[in-house]
Order: sequence, then C-alpha cells, then structure tokens
Amino acid sequence: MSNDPLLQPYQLKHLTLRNRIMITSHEPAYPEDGMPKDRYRAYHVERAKAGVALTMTAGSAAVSKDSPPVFNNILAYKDEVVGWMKKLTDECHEHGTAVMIQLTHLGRRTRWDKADWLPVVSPSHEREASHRSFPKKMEDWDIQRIIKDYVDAAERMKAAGLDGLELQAYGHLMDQFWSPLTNDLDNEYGGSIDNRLRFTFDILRGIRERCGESFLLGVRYTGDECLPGGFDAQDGITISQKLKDSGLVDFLNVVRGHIDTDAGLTDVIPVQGMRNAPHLEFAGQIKKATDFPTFHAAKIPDVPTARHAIAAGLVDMIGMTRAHMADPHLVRKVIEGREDDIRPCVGANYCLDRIYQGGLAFCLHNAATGREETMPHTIPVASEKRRVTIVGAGPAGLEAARVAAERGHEVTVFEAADEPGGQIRLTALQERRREMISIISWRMAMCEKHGVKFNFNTFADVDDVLATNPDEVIIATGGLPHTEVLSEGDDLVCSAWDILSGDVKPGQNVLIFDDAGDHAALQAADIISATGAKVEIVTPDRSFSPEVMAMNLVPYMRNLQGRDTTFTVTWRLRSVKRDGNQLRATLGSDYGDMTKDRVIDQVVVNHGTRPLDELYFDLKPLSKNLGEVDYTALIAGDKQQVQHNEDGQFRLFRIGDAVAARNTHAAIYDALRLVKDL
Amino acid sequence: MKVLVPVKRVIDYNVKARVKADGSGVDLANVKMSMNPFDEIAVEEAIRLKEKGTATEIVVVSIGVKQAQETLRTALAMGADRAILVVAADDVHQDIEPLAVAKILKAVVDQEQPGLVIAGKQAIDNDMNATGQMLAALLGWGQATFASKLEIEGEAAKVTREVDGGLQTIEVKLPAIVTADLRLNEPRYASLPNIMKAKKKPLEEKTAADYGVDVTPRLTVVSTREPEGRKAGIKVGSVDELVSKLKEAGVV
Repeated sequence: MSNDPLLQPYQLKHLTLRNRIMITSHEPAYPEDGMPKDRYRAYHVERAKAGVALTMTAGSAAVSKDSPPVFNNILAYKDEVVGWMKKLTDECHEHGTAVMIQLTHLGRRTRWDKADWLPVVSPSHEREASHRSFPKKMEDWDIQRIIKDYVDAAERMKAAGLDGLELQAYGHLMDQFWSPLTNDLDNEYGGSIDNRLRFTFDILRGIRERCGESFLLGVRYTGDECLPGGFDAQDGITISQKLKDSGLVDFLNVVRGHIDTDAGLTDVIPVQGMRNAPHLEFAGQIKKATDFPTFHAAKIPDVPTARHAIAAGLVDMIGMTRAHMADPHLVRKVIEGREDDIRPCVGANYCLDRIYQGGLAFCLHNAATGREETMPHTIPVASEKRRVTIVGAGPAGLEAARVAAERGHEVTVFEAADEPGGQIRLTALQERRREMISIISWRMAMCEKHGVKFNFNTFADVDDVLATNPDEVIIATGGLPHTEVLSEGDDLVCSAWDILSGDVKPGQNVLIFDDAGDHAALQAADIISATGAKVEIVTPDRSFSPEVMAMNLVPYMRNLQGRDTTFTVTWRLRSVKRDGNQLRATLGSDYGDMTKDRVIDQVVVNHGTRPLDELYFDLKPLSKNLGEVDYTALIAGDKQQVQHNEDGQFRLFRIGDAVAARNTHAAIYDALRLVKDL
Repeated sequence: MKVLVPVKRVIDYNVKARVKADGSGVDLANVKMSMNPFDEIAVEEAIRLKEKGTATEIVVVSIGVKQAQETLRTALAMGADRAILVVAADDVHQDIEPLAVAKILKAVVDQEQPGLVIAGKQAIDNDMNATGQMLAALLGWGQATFASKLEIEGEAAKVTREVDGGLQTIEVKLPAIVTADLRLNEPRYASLPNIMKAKKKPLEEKTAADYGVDVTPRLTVVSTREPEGRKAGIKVGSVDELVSKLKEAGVV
C-alpha cells in the first residue's frame, strides 16, 4: 500500500473515504431544467472513475422558491430531483466515490426578477452589492417556512441515496443570520451569537430528526468574514466549536472571507497570480481548535500543496476542485505515480467567471470538461496512422499536436518563433499571468512524450509543408493585432501587443482604445500605469472589459485603481492627429454626433487580431477538401469526408485565431474537436 | 559604430540532455535547439547600444551547421540588422572548437571592421569559455570578459565585471571584445511582428573554406557520461540505528 499521505483512507463516522482528495461543492451550471441530467452526471462520473474520494455535488442547490438560482443551479425544492440525483449517486458509488450535495438558501444573494418573482429575503434590509437586490426583512413565517424547506430538501437527498450533505454558510442566508452586518432581527433569531446561530441549529436538528444518524451532515462556512463589523476569526472559532458541540454535524468545511463583492469573492476563491493555499493555515487553526473532521479548499492547484495539507495534519480532506476541472484524472495519476502528467490548473478562472455571466463552466484549457458526453479526456488511438503537419505552436497548434500524437499519428510542427506559446507566451510575459505558460509547457511535455517533431524559428511556407509529405495539414498560425480602425492616424497608434512584448515603450500620458474588451488592454494598462504614467481606457461598450469578467478583473483593479488610471465608457476613438510633439485624439459616440478631444503622447489600440492566413490560402488549392470543414460531422463527432479536389495530396484545416479572433478555449476546443476524429 | 555579435546554436537550456549510446556526446537529434543564452544577452546589449544611438549597425554571425540560420533569424527578430552564416559542419553533432571559431571570427572582423564585438561569455553546451579571449588575442584587441555593465565613453568601453567577492570596473580602448555575463541585461522577446520583419533582413551564407580556416577538431572526446541518478533513501527508526547505518556506510 502507498505511503502517500494523500492516498490514505479517511474514516468519517461510518463512511470510509478511500483517499484524502475531494471535489468541493461548485455549480458548473450544467443542469437542464434545474435537474442534474446526463451532462451533469457524466461530469461527476468521469472524476469518480479516476479515484476521487468524495464529490460534493451541486453548489448552492436551492431549497426554496424564493431562492431562485442566480446561475443554473439544481432545484432541490423539486421532488423530481430525487431520480436524477439517485442516478448520479449510484453511478459514482459504483466507482467507489462518496457523494454528497450542498444545499442552500441564497437569502439576499439572488434577484427577485427570476423564476417565480418572489421577494428576496434576508434577516435585514442590507443589500448585497453583487446581486443588487434590496431584500425583504424576514418575518417569523419566512423563517419557519425556510427551515422546513431545508429539511424537505435534505430528505430528498437522503432518498436519492447520497452519503450526506453540507449546508452553505458564506454569503448565503445561513450566515446572513450569523453576521451582525446582515442580521438586525430583534427576535430570538437576532442579537446574541446563540440567537444568530439558532436558524442553523433549527435546520440541522430538523434534518437529523428526519434523515437519521447515518446521513452525514456538515456546514461549509466562512470562519472569518474579513469585514469590519462582521464576525472575525475568533468568532469563527467560537462558531466552529458550537457546531461541533451541537452534536448535529459530522464535519466542518472551512473557507475564509466574504463574497458580497467581486473582490471579496476573489479573495475566498483566489485566481491566477494570487498566492496559492492562502487560507490553508486558517483551516488548520480551526481543525486544531476543534479537533473535529475538517475539509478545506481554496486555490490548492498542485498535488504537493495538497499533500502538505494532509501530511502536516492541517485538514482531513483537501479539496482540489478547479484542479479537477483541468484534469479529471488527477487522483489516478497520483496513484500511478504520474504526477508530472497532470494537466495543471492555471488559475485562469474561466470556469467560475463564465458561470457568473450565465454560461456553463468550461476549463480554459481542457475542452472536454463539461462535454464528457462528446469530448474524450483520454484520446483513443486511431486505426490508421497518418502524417499530420501543424503550422503554429500556440494553444491551438499544440493541442492539435498533442491530440494527433496521442492518436498515434506522426506529427510535425512548424513555429515561427524560437519558443512555443504564441499569444499565451505574450500573455505570460507579465509576472501576474505567468501561470498561463503551463498551458503550453504541459502540452510540450505531452508532445515530447509522443515523439512530436518540432521546427522552431521556421516561418513555414508551402514548400516546408509539402516537404513533410502530409496526409493532414492543420493551420494554427494565429493572427496579428488589427489596429487600423481610425478615419485618420492609424500610423500614429500602437497595439496592446506592442506594449506587452516591449516593442513599444510606454508613454507618459496614454489613451488606450479598447474595442476588444479582453485581457490585452488591461495588461497594457497595467504595464503602462506601473511606470507612473497616466492612462485613460476608452471603450464604446457600456461597461469596460466585458471579456475579462468579474473575478479576473479584481487583480487588475487592485493595480489600476491605485494608480493614475481612468475608464471612459461609451466613447469611441475616431481619429488621431499630431499636435506639436503630442497627439490629439478625437473621441466620438455611437449615440450621436458628440465629439471630444484628448491631448496625449501615446495611443494604444486593442481591437483583436486578424488571421495570419496567407499560408492557408496558398495551400487551399492544393488540398483535397479545399479547406472545407463539414460542420455537421464535426459536431456529431463523425469523420471529415469532404473531397472536392481529386489531385489534392492532403486535407487542410484551419483552427484558432487563424480563422477569426476568439480566445484560448475556442482555440483548444477547435483543435480537440477536429483532431480527435482525424 | 558597427557592433558584431557572434551567436551559437546550442541545445535548449530547458531540454533534459541525453548522452548518445556510444558516449561520444549529447544526443542532438530531434532536440530543441536555441540561441546560447549568453549570446542572447550579447545581442540584447548591442540592440540597447543602438537604441541609445551609440551603435549604428548590428551584424550577427553564427558558425556551425546550416540550421544555425534559425538562430540568426531569432537575433534578427530581436533587432539585429543583418546576419552572416558560416557553414562549417554538416552533422549537428560536430562542435566547432573555439580556436577555429575565433579564427573565422577574426576573418569576419577583418572584413566588417566593427568598433566592438560583444560575445556571450561561454556557450552552455560545452562550457569552454574561450572564444572571446582567443579572438582578442588573434586580433590584438583589448578584452573585457564577464561584463555585467557596459558603457561606451568616447573611444573606450567602461565595463563592470563580476569577479570573486565583488565587482571590478575596467576600461578598454575600442575596438575591443566584451563578453557578456548573466546579469548584463534581460534579453527581449522576439515578437511575431518583428519575426515577420526579420524575414526580409539580409542573411549572407559563407563557408569556413571561404575564410581559409581548417575546422578539423584538435580535441578527442574520450567519453561522455550522464550524472549518476540519486539512489533511494531509507527511513531509520532511531538515533542508534542512524549511527550504525552511517558507520556501515563508512561516513562516521
């Protein structure tokens, strides 16, 4: 038996968890009609098969109708949830993984203009910044109704055969009762700490009575609000002790902080460039103070950190949740001694940021996550070995190379630069985003393992490609910044890339025109403003940086707001002229004929990329399929059969930004989806 | 002032080097090759001199196999103006020894007449640390090795060198040879737009014979071995056991 601390079983009351790695509760927003159907089940089962000990399903599964999901959560208040959860649980159990679920009432952390249009409730009228609702202050009948809803929902989960559940208490109704900031009730549910905890214990007692001792219960809660006037770490220890002493719970699942603002949420669940495992020591303090089963997760992206958490006895179960989005087979790879093969979570947080915008959670660089029904996490070997030539070693080209090589094909890659990475390499030049480079280095390691041949410093032309005698050619050459968007003065501006690469030195008084709304503009603003320069970011959008999204925006704002940076929305850069030794920028508006001028010394334009497609169009007439992709076959996962040119020697495909400016996930999905069937 | 920078194509510093089965050297077949990192620093320093207006033209030279033109393209993408490739070997495993390289470089210098040669202090593949010094001797020029700072002041170069226990600042009359140490600068990134521009920059191809230099090796490699792998350790249960194990191993 292994002596790896992570692989030791853990006894939680009557339940033996087979190792110390769990997936903590998170809602990937895969439900259909509020139910965890096939897609949802496939996602969890994939991870169960690979050995994770416990999966805490859902995230904020709603117990009441006045807790309408803010993104697509499971509706635990519906009886039909039992059948779906049973199916999911049974399948995970078959693979030896324990299954629990997180239940909640969101309280004020939702909106009234959803589902049944019921008023939002909370133990005070205090509004939550993130979801904007002014809540109704709860009455006695609200409290009793919701306690019953929790107990009913728990009973449904017991009926579905789950091993247990946890109640959510960070930013939701339960801890809105706990916090003096959000509870000004003057009845037995407000005032003293025991009164503020009464709602929690009423629910726990109700569930215990209804579901019995064999149904495991826990609370996932913040042990320190980290807010002036809120409860602090000392109060958190008191609450933890009271939870234990109640005899009503079997485990504690600790987080730290508050989630009522984007910035607060991002400190609870840190993203790229923020420190790893920031709250692990704190969780350890709670475990030490209570001597009670303690679970924890918060940016534990790598196995050594997880191993330390267990080996040092800080916690009993360690959550590697986003790490499991990136690599569902993480535990299997640990068991097989293949830790180096684990696809690393780079903290890009595409998964979480997407759900807060109403999308499905996808991993920036694993396009099979959330698509388990159609996309493979393990690439099947092709029946026929082919020669595949790929041009471009950015994320699209390298994913294509990795997948083709794992299929057993003979793969050659051409890259113009001396290093792989493409736009990722440019992004990762900035210290705060350097974790991004793992997207490239993991693929390079996989390619090396499978014998992919690389030609760097080669700006491939038709002859280079033909010399490889390919069966399949994949053009993944990306694009170049497009900055020619002005009526006058295109020659006076530089691109955001020019700033990122260092090709153009930052000015002193800079206008950034951001019409793409992605990371490049903010990264440029970060670099320029760090020199002490004045920066104005101008965008025609109603809000700025829409593609960066809420949590990713936080570290930028922490830099930019401390410097001389301003944001101007709903204005569009029209022209730039020389004005003495300065530049005069004229801004216009999509709303009318208004204009205004700015006198600055540098203008940066961020307007996406235009495809670098010359080679593609040179090769097109020589190819069998004339570059055409059969989208129906592509989506259905069938082989590409298009043939227009009988003299063609190879088939030609184009992926990523070489087609049109999109993002890393699109590039990688393009590659996986196409190449898995080649 | 024209600046000449010799650059070498070497095994990439990220690659885990493997020794060839016959022990004659490191296996370079299908292995990622890059510009020697110290040469990259030398190229960067030349570009900075040009940006300051001190240098007017940067010529990069590489001596080796034909594929070294990839390395020259990188230097051009960084900002060098033109390149000279001296093909002196067909087999990627044939290393051109420092003296031969220095002789060819001398011939190139005689032709190009640069005011300054900036070279990497050594190549990371064979760690000879000799070419710059040999070139200085052949040319009869001053040399400032292991530079961590370079300033051109009129007809002289002021160079700060990293020496044991501190920094030494020396002045050499130009023309001179400067060899770059790790902390001289941080080389820039060759961006895609600049890689595209570099495609149009001139790259002249020569052979060792054009310069009348015999590149036949004078050294014989006797053997090449990989470092011994670390052996698994054992856990001991007590101090006594530890002491007895240490005695067994003959270390106490």
